[in-house]
Amino acid sequence: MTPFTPKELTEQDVLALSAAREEPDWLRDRRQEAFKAFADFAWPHRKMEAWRMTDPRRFDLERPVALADGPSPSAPSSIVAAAGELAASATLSDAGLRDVEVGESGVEILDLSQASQGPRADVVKESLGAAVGAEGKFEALNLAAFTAGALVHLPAELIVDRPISLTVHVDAEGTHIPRILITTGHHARGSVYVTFTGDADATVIEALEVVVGDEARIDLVTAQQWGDRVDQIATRRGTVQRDASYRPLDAQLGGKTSYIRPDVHLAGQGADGELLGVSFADAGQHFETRSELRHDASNSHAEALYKGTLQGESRSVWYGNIRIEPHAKQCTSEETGRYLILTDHARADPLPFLEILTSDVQGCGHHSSVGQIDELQLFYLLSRGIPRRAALRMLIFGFFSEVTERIDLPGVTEAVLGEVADSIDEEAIVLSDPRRTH
Amino acid sequence: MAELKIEGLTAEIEGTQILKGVDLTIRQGETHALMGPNGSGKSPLSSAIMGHPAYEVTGGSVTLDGEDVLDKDPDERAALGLFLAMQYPTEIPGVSLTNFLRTAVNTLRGEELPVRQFMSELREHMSDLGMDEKFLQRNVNEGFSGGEKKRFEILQMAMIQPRIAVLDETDSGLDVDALRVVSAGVNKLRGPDLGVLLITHYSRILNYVEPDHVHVMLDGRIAQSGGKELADDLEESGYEQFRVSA
Ligand SMILES: Nc1ncnc2c1ncn2[C@@H]1O[C@H](COP(=O)(O)OP(=O)(O)OP(=O)(O)O)[C@@H](O)[C@H]1O
Ligand SMILES: [Mg+2]
Repeated sequence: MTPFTPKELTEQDVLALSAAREEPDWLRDRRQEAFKAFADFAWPHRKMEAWRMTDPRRFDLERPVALADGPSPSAPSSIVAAAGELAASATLSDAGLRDVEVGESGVEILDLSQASQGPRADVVKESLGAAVGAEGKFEALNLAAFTAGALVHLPAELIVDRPISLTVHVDAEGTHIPRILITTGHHARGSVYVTFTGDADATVIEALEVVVGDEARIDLVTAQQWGDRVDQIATRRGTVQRDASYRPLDAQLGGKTSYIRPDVHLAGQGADGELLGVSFADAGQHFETRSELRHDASNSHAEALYKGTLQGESRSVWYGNIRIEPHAKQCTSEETGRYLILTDHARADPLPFLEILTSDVQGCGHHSSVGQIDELQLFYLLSRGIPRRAALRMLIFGFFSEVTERIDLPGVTEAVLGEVADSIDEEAIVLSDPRRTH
Repeated sequence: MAELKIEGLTAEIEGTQILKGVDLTIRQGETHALMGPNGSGKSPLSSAIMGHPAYEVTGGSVTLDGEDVLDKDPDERAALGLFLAMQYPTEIPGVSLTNFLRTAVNTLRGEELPVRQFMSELREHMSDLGMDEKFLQRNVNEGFSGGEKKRFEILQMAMIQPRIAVLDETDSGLDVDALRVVSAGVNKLRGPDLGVLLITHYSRILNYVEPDHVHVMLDGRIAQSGGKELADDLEESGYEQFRVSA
């Protein structure tokens, strides 16, 4: 088949893609349906609320899709390298899933197109599009035209102690449309590390959906660790069933543009969601995170906590929303976005919102701040003999500690802070003026 | 014998001159008390000695054993053996107390102290200062009460083992019992290897930590120096007498 571009995508392209991936009719139909939604949505533009802070023109939509695989990634991302022993692993690249290793873990990692007609067809049929549907232009585009997909399935009651790693590798110029579906049966537990590696002049339009079954728990790490030429749009959402728990951590470290919606949909009574994020925006990088905590059932709890540092000419936007539906009683929800500006020319905008449609709320709040490294704190550390470089690092790690102290996944904090430490430009750091805080 | 020599030190903050020519010499083994009314410049002096970024030194000199202190960054001053227990210790959220102390101690003692030795030294000093073990779980000064902050400053001094320490109103905010405990802690550290400049408003602490010299600061200068009797004198008659003679 001939590579299409997102801008010029046609129904024929979608059908040809489905045929090339040898998908069953039901999946082809679902893609086709999504295409119709895609065709009906307008392309995002600056005047749309969701695109006020990130110019959609940052994404080149005229790059043809990459459909063939290059060589396998030569080395794992730093997070996976630090994780130690893995329960299972695989790489998702342009032609589909490869390098699958599941050993005796009981975890199933399957190519999405193939899974849609194998023994797990029922799982895909039930869950594909359940958390991230054709709800917007890019979401519909992904569902209609995902070029490569992965299913990670934890059957009921399976408890996986070691991390499950899925590497999304991009090394070819063009558009990449990966889709990841993570599902669990009831009472299953595991942690999935999705790391994004490689570099190319690339546009990535990703969808990641997680369906967490009754009383199950998924810890998810998504880590943008690619080079500085990749522009990425991602919609990620966990749908959390009764008394289940979903805890995604997003580490925004690499890429040029990154526009990410990490959401949780608390669908069952007593569901729990904890969205965490750390980011380090360096010169030339533009990050936007739009998190939503959506309470769709009573007694559900959620928290979003995003912390980021910025350096050089960079921008970070966090738009957080808490939505409590009228029938969701006695919920607690809290969202926080805090940013630390290290140098001149960086800008951060934390923007929390609330949509509370019931009066029966247990607790609900939001916090946001933008600051600089406090010169008095730095002086305190220096006066105890700690050299400037180590002292700055200590303060920056201290800033992130609110998030890192909640992470108990192997290798993650260590690798993320390692990446942060490597990126700090001590010479350029501008401190808050002590005279103002004296 | 290390000697901290301050000569004709002038400094300003936001263009306002605060130190107007301070002369003071402190040697290892000596304890000096510095007293003076609010706003006379005691904290600015201690801050200038340590290299606080808000104060700009405009003249004079500070040397330690002849080596210029003023052209050095605060961490280098600490490495020379200077220590400042601050009047208002800074809270540093997110930075664990033990990690902070271990980094400081390893840097300043110039050796990677084995963790066990570090912890046993730390526990010993903490018990001397009446500090609960729970402090080890906390962040640097975060949420500490006024008295806890002061104890922690002295704990750091004990661990860091400086040659010259400036204690800026370590006694204020301490209740009577705490004052006794902290004073005992300071006394335990005193000896031929430590010179102390004790800044205080009250002669009360001087009953526990006996000074060899007492200085009175007024309007950015040392107005009078003498022995312990000067502090008693102040207690009775206040600062007005020096203002007249100054
Ligand atoms: N940011 C500032 N701008 C202008 N003047 C300042 C500033 N900070 C401090 N000062 C002045 O410096 C002078 C001395 O400072 P400070 O009050 O710390 O002295 P001190 O002797 O330590 O007093 P205390 O006994 O109250 O601790 C005061 O007159 C104070 O108003
Ligand atoms: Mg003072």
